[in-house]
Amino acid sequence: MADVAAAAGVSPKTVSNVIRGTYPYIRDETKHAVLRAVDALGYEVNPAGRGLASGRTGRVTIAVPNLYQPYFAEIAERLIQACEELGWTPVLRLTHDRLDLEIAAAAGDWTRDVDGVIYCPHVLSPQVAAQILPVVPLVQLGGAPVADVDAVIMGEYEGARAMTEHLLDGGRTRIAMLGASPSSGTLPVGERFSGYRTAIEARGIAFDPALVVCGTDWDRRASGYEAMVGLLRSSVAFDAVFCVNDAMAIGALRAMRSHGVRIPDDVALSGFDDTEEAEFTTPALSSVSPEQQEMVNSAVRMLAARIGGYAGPPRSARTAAHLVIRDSTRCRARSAEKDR
Amino acid sequence: MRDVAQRAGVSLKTVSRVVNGHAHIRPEVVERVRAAIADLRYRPNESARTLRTGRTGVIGIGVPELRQPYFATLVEALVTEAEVRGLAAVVEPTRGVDERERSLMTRHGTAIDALVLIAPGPGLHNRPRAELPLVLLHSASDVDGADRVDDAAHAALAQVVGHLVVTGRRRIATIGPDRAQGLRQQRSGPNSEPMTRAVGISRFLERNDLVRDERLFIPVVHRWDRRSGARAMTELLEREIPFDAVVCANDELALGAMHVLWARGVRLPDDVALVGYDNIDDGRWSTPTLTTVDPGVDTMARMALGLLEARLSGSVAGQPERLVSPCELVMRESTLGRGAP
Repeated sequence: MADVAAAAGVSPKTVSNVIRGTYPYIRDETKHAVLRAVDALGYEVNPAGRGLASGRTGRVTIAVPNLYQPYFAEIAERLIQACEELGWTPVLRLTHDRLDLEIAAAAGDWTRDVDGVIYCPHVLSPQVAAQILPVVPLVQLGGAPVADVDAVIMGEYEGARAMTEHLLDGGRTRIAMLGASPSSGTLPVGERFSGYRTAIEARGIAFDPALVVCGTDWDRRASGYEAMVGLLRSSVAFDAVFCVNDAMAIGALRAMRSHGVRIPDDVALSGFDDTEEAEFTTPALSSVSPEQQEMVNSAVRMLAARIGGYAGPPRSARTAAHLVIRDSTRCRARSAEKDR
Repeated sequence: MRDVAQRAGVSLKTVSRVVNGHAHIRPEVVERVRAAIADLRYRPNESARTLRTGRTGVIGIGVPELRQPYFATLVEALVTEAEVRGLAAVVEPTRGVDERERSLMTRHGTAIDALVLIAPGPGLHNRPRAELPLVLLHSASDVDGADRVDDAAHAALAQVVGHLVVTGRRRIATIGPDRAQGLRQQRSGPNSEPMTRAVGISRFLERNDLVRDERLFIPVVHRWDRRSGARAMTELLEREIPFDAVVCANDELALGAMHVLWARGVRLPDDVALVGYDNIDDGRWSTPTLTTVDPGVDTMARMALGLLEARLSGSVAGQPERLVSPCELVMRESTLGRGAP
């Protein structure tokens, strides 16, 4: 920097002011002289040095469980873009469904030198999450609400309830749910399950636990396949299936077609997440859109406020969800006419 | 740090040695310092650490986009492989724009130790920062001084054509350019003329005494996604030229094409055989399951990170290297019919 100052004939302080853009009252010719010198000497700002001086790095951690689940790939990409628009450098970390890595992400000290963290909890329970004391501003995206953490809560309950009601409206009465449970033999927990159960009971239909089946890993299409095989082998009668996400629905779809179950003539099928693949399955899959862009925008806004010094109580934003209806849940009468 | 030292009743030097993981410190001292750090939520200033070592421990990954499953899989493999080596990753969607690829090198130039670019554009002839180790994955062209990792696309296409010929196919259509021409997808912008031919595959058709009918080539002038695949298949059917097999530039195009064939009542593979490329997970669950080429994502990620590490450690200098991952043809129902393994 001293070399730049010497070449431009100004003080090092002036060079610093020009490069950092911190001081607006610099004459244009001075600014140009400095920039010319910077260019000629190939001077580069040392971001490590800058971080040392300001205490901020402009880096933000984005932690998602994986990228093979299309939902998380999409969320990660949207988060990266939203962070870049604010001039931040997002560092993508994958938690690989590991509790220790999710805790490290939520604690904020996993990645060197970040100003904040946006993370998607996956295996971390709200009880454990509430014990973590983050060292940098933290925003949770999706998952169950956690005390004392800024969070964006997906419209899981509303979406699941609306989709189940749509299946009921189509004349289906034995609606199965494919999900994931914390341990085998127990019912799933969470908002999607609550939404499903509430919708059924609101129509005066008794909840039947035999209709709820779980896969071993709800991010995998294979899990939808295995859960459907389990349901078919149980000989329980069903005329519709609500899947906890599109990944499981696509595995279930394959299992049903291999077993000669016709969709939607015999059984209606729906997913959740509205991923791109849902539109082009055979038949095309009905799904719930959790409005990912709105979730991402809310999360980034909250983090920006915290990094900017907002010190008020934790906030949570609930986003909406809407149905995307395709062939896989059409009423039987209309399903004879195939999609063009 | 001073507070930590005071609380633990040790010297500043000792705190520093514990934080930086030095050996030869009594376990009870380590325990005491750690407890003090936990109590005070002391965090080592990584900027100071970076200043000293000159390394950030972060690599950059430039990828056209994460919403295409193959790219997501490739990035996941790269990030995982980086983590194994103690490195974190900055992932930047470039949307295939040359300017964004260049800015990755300049803007993050000093915040990253090395860079991996996936399917970079043809406009990237030289490196703005020559000292930044650079590995190109699926690059259509060379960039001076950059290492490259590719899949063996030519050999894979030869296998695809061989497989179709053996199973009795004679009139092979193509959707999108074949993969021997790289993975560069069409974007809007100055360099956006569509690749109009599938030249690589023609050679293998000739070798098998099959006539190449140019009307059976459908260019894809946008993202290689399901929607483009559906549109291309619709166009192919409208041409009303007989064909009995379709080779697509990737699995997503093939899955979009499959959707249209199913809706039109075309039987797969009785009437038409369908082949994709990339072996994304989706192709295992479609009906029929999709025959495809596995480019060896984990192998490519290991190769790329291995090259970067070698450059960073200085154990490899000089001429750029090019490593090629072998491909595997994955035969499934879309060419073999029901009950395929």
